Amino acid sequence: MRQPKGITRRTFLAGAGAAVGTAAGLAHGASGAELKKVRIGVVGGGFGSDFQWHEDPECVVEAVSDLRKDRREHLMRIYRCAKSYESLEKLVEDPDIDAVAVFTEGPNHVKHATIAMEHGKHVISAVPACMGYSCAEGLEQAEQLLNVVKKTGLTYMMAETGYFQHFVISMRRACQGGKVSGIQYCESEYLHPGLETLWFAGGKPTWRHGAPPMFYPTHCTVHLLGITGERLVEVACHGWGDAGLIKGNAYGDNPFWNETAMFRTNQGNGFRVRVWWKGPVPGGERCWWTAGRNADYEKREDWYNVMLPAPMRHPTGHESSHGFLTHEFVRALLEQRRPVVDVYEALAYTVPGIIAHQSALKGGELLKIPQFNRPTA
Amino acid sequence: MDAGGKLRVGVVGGTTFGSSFPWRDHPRCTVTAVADLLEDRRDQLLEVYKGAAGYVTLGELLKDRNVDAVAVFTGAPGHARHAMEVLKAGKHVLCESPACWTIEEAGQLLEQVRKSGLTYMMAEPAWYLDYVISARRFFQEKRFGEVFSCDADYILPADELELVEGDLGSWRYGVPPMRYAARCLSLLTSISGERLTEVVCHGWADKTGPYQENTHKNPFSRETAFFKTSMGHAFRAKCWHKGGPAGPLAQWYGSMMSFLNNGRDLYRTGGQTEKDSGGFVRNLPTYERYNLPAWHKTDLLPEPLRRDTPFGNTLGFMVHEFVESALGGRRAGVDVYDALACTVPGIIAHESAMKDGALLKIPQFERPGERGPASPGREGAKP
Repeated sequence: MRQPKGITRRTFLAGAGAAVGTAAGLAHGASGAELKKVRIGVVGGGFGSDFQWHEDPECVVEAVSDLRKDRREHLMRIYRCAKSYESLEKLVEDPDIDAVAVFTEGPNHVKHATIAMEHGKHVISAVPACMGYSCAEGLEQAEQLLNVVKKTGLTYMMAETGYFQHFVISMRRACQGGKVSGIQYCESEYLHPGLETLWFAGGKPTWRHGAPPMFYPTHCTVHLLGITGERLVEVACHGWGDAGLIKGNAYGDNPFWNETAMFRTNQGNGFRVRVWWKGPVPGGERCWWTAGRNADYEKREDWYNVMLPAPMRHPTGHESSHGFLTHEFVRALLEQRRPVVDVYEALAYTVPGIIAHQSALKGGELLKIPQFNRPTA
Repeated sequence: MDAGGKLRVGVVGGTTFGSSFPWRDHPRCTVTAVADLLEDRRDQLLEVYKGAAGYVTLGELLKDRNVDAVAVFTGAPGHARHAMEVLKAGKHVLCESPACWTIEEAGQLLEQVRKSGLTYMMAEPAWYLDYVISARRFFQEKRFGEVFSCDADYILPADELELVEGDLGSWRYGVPPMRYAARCLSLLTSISGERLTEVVCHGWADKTGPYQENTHKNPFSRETAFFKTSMGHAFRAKCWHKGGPAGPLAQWYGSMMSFLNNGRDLYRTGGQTEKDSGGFVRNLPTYERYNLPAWHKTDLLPEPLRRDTPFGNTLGFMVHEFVESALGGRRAGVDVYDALACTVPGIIAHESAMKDGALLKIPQFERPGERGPASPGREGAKP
């Protein structure tokens, strides 16, 4: 499939799960003739090398890119791809690339997604959708991202692994099937003690150094929003830190190693979220839902055997979510539907964390969360 | 005191809780009078405390000169009023939790305690659970580092409230769960002494049974509060009348050590690392399955009290703390300041839930002369 540069496409206003093709008259898609395979360019040879683009029968890795030569070579080896570029800026000039996988540093996600979309490429981005060095900058990025997605009409997806953790898939299916209903309270946590091992490289601080935990909220927010579709409208958040390595960071000298927030949803429900970088606690991403009706439901640890094409039926990274993220993005492009974590979902998962951090900086003030709602069809 | 130097206690309220206290197992205590409005409950008390004088009302009992101190186990909305009556009669008082029903009462109770110079203690079992005593010791020994966050649950399934459908005359019928917050809130305040200063709380209106119509105008069967403490820490407290295993549940998170699942799991900062499922390195804390001491069977208590008691083996401690403090040995284990610090925030939390989770400030009732975190009462300290 091909999205010629400069040609925009209407935003797809699809209901959840519905496949809608409204691209009539555009250069691609109308006949479906070119929709057999997605040609992807993968940028970022760290986390970005852990997806299954080369295994998806409907996808091929057209080119890869990383600023570091060793990582470029690593990407080429993993994805069995002969073409590489020294930068994202060069990769997006390649006319044989339909979509770009942006697995770069958090604060560059919007910048890179923008460049790719302005070159007519669809985008899948690592989390968070937007991340500034301050709350204000993060919110500006949110606006910018939404604007570029609207302007270009291209497909944007955020690669939130939590959407496809197996226990989350199980719960989502239970809710869809009516086994579980009326979720009225939820607690989720992303505990990653020892994150500071990634804070410095070669004696220099990385983008992760001292990043406010709530700037990285999506592993948690997805646990509720990715199931019920509700939105977070208010938050009070408290931060904790004891100085040390965190000092002198680029995030306004963020003092908080750990942030704990209580959100209120548009359904009036409470949602407690903790994102912690420190403390003697077992690391992991976990969630507890409390529902009005909670019947026995099917729990599996191998949904890939049920939901993915044959070559992808095996465990992958982040509790086997990577295979699903890969396939979902590919299918969304081929079916010309919005992906499950589109730009509206992505901002709904990301922006509340920015406001939570703002609340923590203000000593736990209760703050309203700006909403980036999907326009109603 | 009687000639033998014993504290003479009058027990008011022959509930299961009120008639379970092993007063007479304490070497410095005896029960000389009991009272209950209901005959069967009065008889129950007279059966347990044989030889005591029986009265119908609290007022009658207070006139008995052979009573030095009164244990109040009446309906929760009457606690503060009854405790104040006891103090006005010149007697020490042990009062069931919660300490008060309204904020006005909190101020009045405090004033009365100060004026009287008598001992006031709240009978809050959560203060003396074995794992809470362990946590308090860890805190005092500075083994937690800084306790930077805490979670407390108190699940009291509605069927244990012994409600009769449509019984609007019972104060328990549809009572806001946060009225019982002391059971949760003491899990932090009794450890670190910190106070709760702000709250947002979310309620769950399930529109069933007592939560459809009640005299409290309360729609919530579950309330979940998010407090800010005087140390700036996050403290989440759940008071639910439905769901989950019954009882309190505590999780303390410290910078050097975490103590989780009611004293079962100890995690300490360790030197090891592991990889998460995404391949990122993270710290692996060292784990220890904690061997919880049976503190209630140790020399923290005088010999006859060293035994299992109902309500989580806490009754011996409450008897001992109250008797020793009333006899002049020391500050009461859960004195009026501690009592209000874990009662008042629950009242405000419910108010927040009724206001759709508005952030509300919590009135403080500070112990004079204390700055920073208060030191909670300690069990078993020698006079």
